[in-house]
Amino acid sequence: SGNGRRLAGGSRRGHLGVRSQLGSRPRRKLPSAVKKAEGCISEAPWESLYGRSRPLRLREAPPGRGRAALSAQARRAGAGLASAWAGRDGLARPDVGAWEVEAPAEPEAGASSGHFAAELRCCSPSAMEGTASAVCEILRYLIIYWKCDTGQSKEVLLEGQLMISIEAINSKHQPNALHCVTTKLQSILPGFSAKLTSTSGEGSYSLDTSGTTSFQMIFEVDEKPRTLMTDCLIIKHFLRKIIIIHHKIRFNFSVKVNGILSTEIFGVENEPILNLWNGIALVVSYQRYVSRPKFITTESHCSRIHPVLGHPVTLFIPDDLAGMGLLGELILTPAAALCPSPRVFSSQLNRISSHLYIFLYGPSGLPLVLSNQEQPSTTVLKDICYFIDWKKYQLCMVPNLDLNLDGDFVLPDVSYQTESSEGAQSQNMDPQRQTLLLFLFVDFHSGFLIKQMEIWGVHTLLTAQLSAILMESHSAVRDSIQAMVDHVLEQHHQAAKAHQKLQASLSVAVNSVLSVVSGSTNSSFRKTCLQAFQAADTQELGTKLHKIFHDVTQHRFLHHCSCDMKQQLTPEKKDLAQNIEDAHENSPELLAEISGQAENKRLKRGSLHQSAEEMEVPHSASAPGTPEIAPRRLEPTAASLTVKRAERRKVHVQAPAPDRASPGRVLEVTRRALRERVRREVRAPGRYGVLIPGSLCSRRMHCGCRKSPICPSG
Amino acid sequence: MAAAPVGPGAAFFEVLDRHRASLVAALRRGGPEASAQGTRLASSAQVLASIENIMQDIITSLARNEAPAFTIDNRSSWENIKFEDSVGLQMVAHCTTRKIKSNSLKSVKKFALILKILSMIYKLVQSNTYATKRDIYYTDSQLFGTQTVVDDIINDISCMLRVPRRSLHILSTSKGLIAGNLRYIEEDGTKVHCPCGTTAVAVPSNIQGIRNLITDAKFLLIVEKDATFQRLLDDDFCNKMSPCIMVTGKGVPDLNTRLLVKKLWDSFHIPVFTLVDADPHGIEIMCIYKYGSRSMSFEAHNLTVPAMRWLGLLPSDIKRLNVPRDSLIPLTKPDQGKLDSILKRPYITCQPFWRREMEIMAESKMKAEIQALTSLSSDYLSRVYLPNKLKFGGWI
Repeated sequence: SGNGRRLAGGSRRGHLGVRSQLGSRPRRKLPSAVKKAEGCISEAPWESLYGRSRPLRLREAPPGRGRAALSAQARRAGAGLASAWAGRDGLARPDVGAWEVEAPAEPEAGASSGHFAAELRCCSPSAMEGTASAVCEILRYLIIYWKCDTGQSKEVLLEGQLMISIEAINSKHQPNALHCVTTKLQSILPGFSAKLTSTSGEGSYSLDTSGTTSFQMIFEVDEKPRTLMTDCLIIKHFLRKIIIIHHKIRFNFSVKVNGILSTEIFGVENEPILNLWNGIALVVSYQRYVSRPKFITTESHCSRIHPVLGHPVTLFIPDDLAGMGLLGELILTPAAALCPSPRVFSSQLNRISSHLYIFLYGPSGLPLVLSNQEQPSTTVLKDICYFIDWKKYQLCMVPNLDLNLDGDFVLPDVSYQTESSEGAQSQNMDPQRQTLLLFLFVDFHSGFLIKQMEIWGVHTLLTAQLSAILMESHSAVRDSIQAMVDHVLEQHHQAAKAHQKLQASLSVAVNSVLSVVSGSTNSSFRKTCLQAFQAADTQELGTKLHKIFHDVTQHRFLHHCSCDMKQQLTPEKKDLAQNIEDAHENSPELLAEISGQAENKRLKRGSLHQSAEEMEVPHSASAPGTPEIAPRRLEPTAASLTVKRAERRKVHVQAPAPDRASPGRVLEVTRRALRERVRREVRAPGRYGVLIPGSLCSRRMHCGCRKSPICPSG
Repeated sequence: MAAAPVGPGAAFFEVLDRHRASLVAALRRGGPEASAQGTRLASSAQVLASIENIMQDIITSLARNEAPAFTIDNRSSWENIKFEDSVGLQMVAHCTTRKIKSNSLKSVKKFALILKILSMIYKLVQSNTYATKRDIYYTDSQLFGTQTVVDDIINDISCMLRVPRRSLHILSTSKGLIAGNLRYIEEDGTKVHCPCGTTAVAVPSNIQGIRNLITDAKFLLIVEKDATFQRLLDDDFCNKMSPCIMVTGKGVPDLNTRLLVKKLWDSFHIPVFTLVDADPHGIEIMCIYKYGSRSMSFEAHNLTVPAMRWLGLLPSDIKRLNVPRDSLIPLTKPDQGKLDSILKRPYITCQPFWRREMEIMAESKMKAEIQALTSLSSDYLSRVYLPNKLKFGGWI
């Protein structure tokens, strides 16, 4: 699937000797790195314990049932990350142990002490596997620390690699249990080191702070094999959630069970990215979010999703949560997209969306919820009707409690599916499963430099209190989400209506032709018509006419939703071309019109996020959203720019590390060349399609969307 | 049988007779006779063959994996219309066209509706039955949406096949009325004797089927509005001005009313006058009778009567007759726009008196309805205004 790649290789060492590179360094081919490893190889090490692999599904269970086996281990290992905020929100538990992470103080912070200490607490230990929660919490902390420590501005994406190794052997102390000897987080981060201490008596740990450029944490826990297996799946899903936002971070996740090693790399490579805003980017290949349904073809659906950003909403903090020392404001920015995005629109108006997936992200674009957690943060989302009026789309959404952890796609934090009036759920009856993805990004904004502990504190607050906070701003949140969903579905709705119109018209046309042919007494005329389609009778002719009519018209419309980079027109040229086309044919395309109208309306309304750009990753020397991006999008269209990805990589690899502007310069030259080409083509009579760098002109994708702050394809 | 109405004496019609003689003389010189362009009556077999050809082309196009399209003349575009004094507005021989494509969502519905109506016409012609445009609309009102859609497509088909609507076996519902000295036999054999009293008969729906037209009328008066027409009937105008014929199209004339006026002109070559409001819309309606409309320019030679004259109400009459100012109505902005638009039309260049009247209207910024004359006297129109105009040649 591309997001988690199982690699052949193994090692008898406790962890893989792979050292990753930071952003400025060329990446090695991952398989070659793994080939250096030794040892047994298995795709699923615990298969040796179970004999067969069974799919793991998480089903929401009633409180107090089915969690005991997990929570006992969980509390020991990871659930006890107590927070400095715990004392304030009153959620600290006396039996909860704490992991303490220490790291050198930021030089620029001017703190009085030489280091700071932060306690990390997991807020909802009840349903959480120990290893998973510990790893995820620490990862979250690491990335926050990393972001702040590197001093990068908000707009710049983090780039680097993190390694996570879990090594388990059969426990000597507990039968049918694995002793997870090490769970190790290792990062190669610039100027970052950390020191871990533990106050928990239940878990043991060791610490390595020898390197200033590495961070390592080791802890041990006894877990049931199935628990460990679930832990690993949860960690993987957590990693998937991170990389769809932080596409420049890679995770090397290895699990070694009784000497059998499995390694997976989680990262984004050669996938389209949408830079939403402020360093929040989103992987937009649809296969990240849904499994590939059988009906999906490149002709029928776009390979990308086309997120629409909602208007940001400043969230009020409830009175009882105020006074936590937050000097800033929480801002919710929703985004939504249909997945997969259809190129040929369905005529089933009632099936605009059969599923709704909600993804919650906190500050720094980090997931708020683990895949298996039932947290207070999602309580309010249990009734999505509170935020979205589905009735206007004749949809009835019911929570989907059955999530499959085995899938390779990103698990939503909350999931719904449509229910028909008969009560049957859409999964069984709707062959064209289309999912509405809803991303809720909550970020913390302050007029001051935000420190990592503030971000962490906000994460902790949101994890525990998101529901209350969203409820406090219910009206504004609902308006923003509803407007955005309306936009996503209305476009689809209009397109579906247009498609219906097409089908109805073609049906009338075919029946009319048949009526004349069948009613004619002119045998020569009838014979000619039947022979043209080699039809035996008018009935067969009718069938063939229906098909051919559909084909010749559909072929035309397919071209309207292709996210291939296409020739683009300046607004003036577009008008000229349109006028000329109208003069010749008087038949501008409707789909473009529909989308265009919607987009234009949107443009008129204006948006705070008008910088959405699409790009391909990785190996970019520049951050998304920089001016270099737009020309790069155009590469495949320009003959001089038909450098294959491998070649582009090569260019980047050869570029000296400090000279990060080199690719940009190449692109700048390219852009100039494009401008020249544009000028030439603009002058050339009879040519209407013109390549224009995105930064210079209105962009129009062939999915019918014109340039829009809300549609990355336009 | 009722006694023949007694009209004014022969001296009354002297000017009219001279006018008629001049029109006939012009006709003999080959002047205002319609040229043989545009549509012509086609046999049923020809219409069926035309439709079959269209269907065959569509099937052939599809068999080649090409989306079929209709190429239709731009009927309503001024660039495709020329003015000929003897005919009126006519389509040029090589006019620009537009495509009604089957693979464009914007035009696919129209493409389908053209085919639908073509198939209906095919059946009508095959079965030798007739239907009105309204009948066609009601066969699937939901599909067609509005009557205008049907009307427009029928005109497109008529233009495309180069046959008049009648040959397509599509009739339009007549709304016009006729009264006066006229007898004829309809296609089904019905003998019609138009009354000269206070009643009128409807304009028949099958004008081409009318035969044995008989009249002694000295002139034909087209009245714009039904109200004025009725008032003239009430005032016994047809008897007082006997022999004459009066027709009203009740506003913008329907096709049958225009066909009837044309038929009466072609049959008798009697002077044709119009009595319209002294406002831009009245002038527009008069122009439709005289020169035709843009949308039906392809059939102008069957519909226009270029010999028609403007009898009243002339804007200059308002001042001349001292019509009270409170009986007048200020020109609105749309009126002004309409007036400007008419002034720019090609036929106005050969009508300097019309232009002058319109300029008077524009200068005065006032318009007047025919009823404004009642401010002078309740029967001023029928007793004074029209007789004087007819007697002394007050037309332009």
